[in-house]
Amino acid sequence: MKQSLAAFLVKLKRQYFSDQISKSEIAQSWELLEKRLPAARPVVPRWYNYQYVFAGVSVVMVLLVALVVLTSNTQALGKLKTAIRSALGIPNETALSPIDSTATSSSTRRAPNSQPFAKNQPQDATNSAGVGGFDILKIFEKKPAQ
Amino acid sequence: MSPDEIQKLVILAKRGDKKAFGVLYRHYFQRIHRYCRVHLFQDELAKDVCQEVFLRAWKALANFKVDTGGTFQAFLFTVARNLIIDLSRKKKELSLHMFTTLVADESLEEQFDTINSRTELRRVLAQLTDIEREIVILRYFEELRHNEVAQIIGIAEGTLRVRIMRILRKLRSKLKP
Repeated sequence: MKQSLAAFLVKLKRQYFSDQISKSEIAQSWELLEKRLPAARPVVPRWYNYQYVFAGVSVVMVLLVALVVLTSNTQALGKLKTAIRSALGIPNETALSPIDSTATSSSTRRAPNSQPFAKNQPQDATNSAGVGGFDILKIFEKKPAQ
Repeated sequence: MSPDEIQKLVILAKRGDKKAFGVLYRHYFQRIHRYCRVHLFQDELAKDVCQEVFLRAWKALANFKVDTGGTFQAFLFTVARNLIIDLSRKKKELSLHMFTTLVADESLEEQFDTINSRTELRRVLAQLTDIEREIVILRYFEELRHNEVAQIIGIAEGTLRVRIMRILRKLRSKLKP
């Protein structure tokens, strides 16, 4: 008669469970291991993990800077632009802002009856972004009051 | 020991309580040792590896999450399995393929203790692949749940069930008349 699979597995399991280790032997091995165990690291809650704190602080800082830049007055922005331009070695702002009403340089001003610049053509070849480029600093510029 | 008691001990051990970890050690040592022995075939080596398993478990305990459904025994078996695989990669003589070698070379039997009592077990396990052997040991000998076995081996629970069906079919075909 063919033995059943269940009986066969039980037989194998019995073999697997042979040779139990005595409790005293386990206790002895624990004493040896206990000496080798290093002090446990404190469990840090996930929200307190320094990476998350750092990332959170960074995001808040960026948002604050963006808020300050967007709400600050023109004078402060002008100073910021000047600082950026001087740091990048770009010529004076007044020479680059044809739409700025406060600019006094007549060389950069367009005559009232002159043709407007063609679309997609740079207004000033010497601007910070170069020919055909996009002048990032214009984002900060405010249009003159009507 | 109930699952709640084990969970409490694990939480204490995570906080650095060595006594709590000692209780867990005494509770699980036998099972982890059996698992190591069936892979390594040598009692003394299995004891050393078993100690190493608990040492690694202690160090990795901070990463073990009690509340995500993973059980501590599955965690221990995973550590043990990884350690045995590491060992088998480092030393060929400890390879998981040792089963096959041993069956082919019967003269090596003398090297192992009480080998006669486990000859049939060894013969049957030798006929299975590594993964199949793991499944039989963990599911039918250690009586772990499906999700625990799947977690230890690193396969989906559905895949595990399919594999179990195949293993049983394979074992049935090998039964002696």
